[in-house]
Amino acid sequence: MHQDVSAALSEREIRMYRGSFALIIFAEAVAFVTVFASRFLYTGTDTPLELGALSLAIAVVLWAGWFFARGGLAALRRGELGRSAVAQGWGVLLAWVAVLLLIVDLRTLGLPPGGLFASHYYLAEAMHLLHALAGALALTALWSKTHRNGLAANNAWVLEAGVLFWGFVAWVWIAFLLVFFVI
Amino acid sequence: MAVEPVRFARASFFDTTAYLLRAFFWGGIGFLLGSGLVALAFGQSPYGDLGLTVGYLFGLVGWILGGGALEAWVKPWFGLPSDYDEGTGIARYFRFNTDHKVIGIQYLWASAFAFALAGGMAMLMRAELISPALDFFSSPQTYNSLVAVHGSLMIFAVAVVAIVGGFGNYFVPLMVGGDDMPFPYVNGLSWWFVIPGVLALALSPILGGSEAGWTGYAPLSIQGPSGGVLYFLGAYTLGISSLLTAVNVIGTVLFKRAPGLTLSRLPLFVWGMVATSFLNLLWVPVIGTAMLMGIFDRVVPTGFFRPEVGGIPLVWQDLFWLFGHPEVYIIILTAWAIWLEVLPVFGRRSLAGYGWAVGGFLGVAFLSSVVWTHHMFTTGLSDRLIPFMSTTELISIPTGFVFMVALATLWRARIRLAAPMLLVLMSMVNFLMGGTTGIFLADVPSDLMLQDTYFVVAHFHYTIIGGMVFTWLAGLYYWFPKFAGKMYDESLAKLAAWWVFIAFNLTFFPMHIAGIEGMNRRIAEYLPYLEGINTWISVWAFLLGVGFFLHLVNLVYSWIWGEKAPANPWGGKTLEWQTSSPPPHHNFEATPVVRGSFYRYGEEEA
Repeated sequence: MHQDVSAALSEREIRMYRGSFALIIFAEAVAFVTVFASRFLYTGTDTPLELGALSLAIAVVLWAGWFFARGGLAALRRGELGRSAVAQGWGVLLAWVAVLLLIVDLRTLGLPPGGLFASHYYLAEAMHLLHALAGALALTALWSKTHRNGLAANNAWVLEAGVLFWGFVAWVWIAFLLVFFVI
Repeated sequence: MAVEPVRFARASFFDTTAYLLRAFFWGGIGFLLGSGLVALAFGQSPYGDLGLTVGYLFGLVGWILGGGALEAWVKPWFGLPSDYDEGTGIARYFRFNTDHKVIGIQYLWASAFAFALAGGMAMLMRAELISPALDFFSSPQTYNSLVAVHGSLMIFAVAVVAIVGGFGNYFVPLMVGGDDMPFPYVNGLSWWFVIPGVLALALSPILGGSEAGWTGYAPLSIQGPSGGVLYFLGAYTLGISSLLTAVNVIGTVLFKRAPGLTLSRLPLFVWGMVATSFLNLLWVPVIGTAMLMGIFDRVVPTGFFRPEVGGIPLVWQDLFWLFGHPEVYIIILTAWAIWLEVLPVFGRRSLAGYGWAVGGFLGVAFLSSVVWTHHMFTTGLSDRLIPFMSTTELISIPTGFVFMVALATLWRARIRLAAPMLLVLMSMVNFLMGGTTGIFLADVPSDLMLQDTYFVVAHFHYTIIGGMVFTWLAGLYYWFPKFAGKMYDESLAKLAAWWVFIAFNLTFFPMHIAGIEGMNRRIAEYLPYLEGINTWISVWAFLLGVGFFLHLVNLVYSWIWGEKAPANPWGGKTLEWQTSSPPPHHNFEATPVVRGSFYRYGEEEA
């Protein structure tokens, strides 16, 4: 009963997957917008934190992971499975590093969680961490599948979905930095 | 390839429910593991807020994997051997499945189970209210805790799920001529969030429960016994289920339509589902985030709704009703859509004003998002009173479109008063009553007097039971031949319909009077002068419960022993009637082509 992901997808099917997946991303974005909007409604634009090296490092790692994952997708589309697996491997490594850095950031924040700014910071970062964790798991599963020749050039949708999701995770962190440090 | 009909007698109970039983077992193990880890790592009680939260998440994973997702999804993904069989007959309804029709039935039985559970709780509440003193429950807190579970289950696990999850899953792909939904595995997964959500809500009284009602008002909901955290977890889980269904429904309508099925020809039930799904997509993440805030306030603890650190409890109400009022229309839009499917078929009359009906659905969907503060008129937000009174009353205009289309379709119709039609007409009468009493609650002066009385209880039961549950029953009878492949007992269906209609009105109409006379909501004890009317309401409530049981008996009996149904017993023209009963695995033997409207009777054929 399991779907054969090596079967070629038609243009219509790819449109369907992309369109439907965009709905999932939309719903996730609404959840983050709710927290970000609530942060401004509660605490205005004041911020007790300064943008630190760790937050910037997380951004760099997230985006680097996305860069490699996209490279893996492009290679898969060209039919270069070996190159795809290598690029994806770097993407997976960076994804897990990002997860680790997010945990470190949460553990070392130093703000008492009861304050309103800190409440929003903790919630938003925890939500982001959960998404990063899901993304890292997905990229790892896709990398493993690529290694076993489970993906094909004419059916790269599942990898595309993973890469799109990681891109979303990377963009949310930029929004996070803007909301909690810049605006 | 025709789908194998349901076999009830041959398979043993354990064969049939093997995966479900394993899901319960693995879920339990996961829960104990998660809560045990919290106890070991943090030295906290495994049944405290954190222990319950982590245990629930672990249990959820165990439940989903145990239900068959391990063999159906995870193992094949990692290239491991798996001989998973989605099952045949009744067994497929109790294990992980990717067929939208099976998932639809799974939603139907799960929501019927939740309805019976929450209905049983209502019976206990009415038993308490037969007399003014507290004589059935051990304390008012226990009573209130049960009220909260009853309301939460009825809303989150029945009203939102039964039509949207049940009929939506089963019939949207069929009605658009598609073979399935875009993400069948995600669809299969969505149902597995329902039962944990139901159990979390239903079991919360064991751990002290929550007295904050189905609306979970803060700060009450973020204080008190750890059972309160189960409210947030259960409602959140049920929200995920709705969200995943919404994504698949919209994807199906956008990308799976048969040739010739333009948007201007979409069946009205599908339009109703689209409007509902967009509301879910937009507002479920908002309430989900609010639920997370509530969980964090209890577990971390953060201070979103804690006034002592500057938190604002009223923000919970805003976030809750931002979802909560659209939710009323998530519930009712699909019910209206079923009215407009049933009326032309049983009236043998062309639908009057298709465009007006679609406009009504979309207008209601839009306006439902800008009326939420009418639930908060008594909170002192004086600058919002007039704007939200106005938008709330505006919503009667697109609602009027739907009623106008329904009545115009009935005009000079040759009505065949079969059970689905009878129940739709009853639902229209009930909803009219609920809508009319809603005007009193939309008007600030009368709302200030009626807030938190039984008038409100009567109003929303008229809209939700009277509007949605009656239509759910209508839909069950209307589509029963299609999904069961059998005919139901018409005489018993009509008897049960009249029984429920009479008992419903004699239960809930007097609640308006009780409310006006001063009977408050969420109280286990009341003043003696209200005893007579409360006893009357309780007696009819018990009879109402019997009426619902009659419907259940009819449907179960007919599914097992009913006569075989033809493909199109009602002469319907939408696409689900153009395939066998029950439909084959991929719905149609050949892709259907649509050449006209589905709603023309006695004129040009579709």
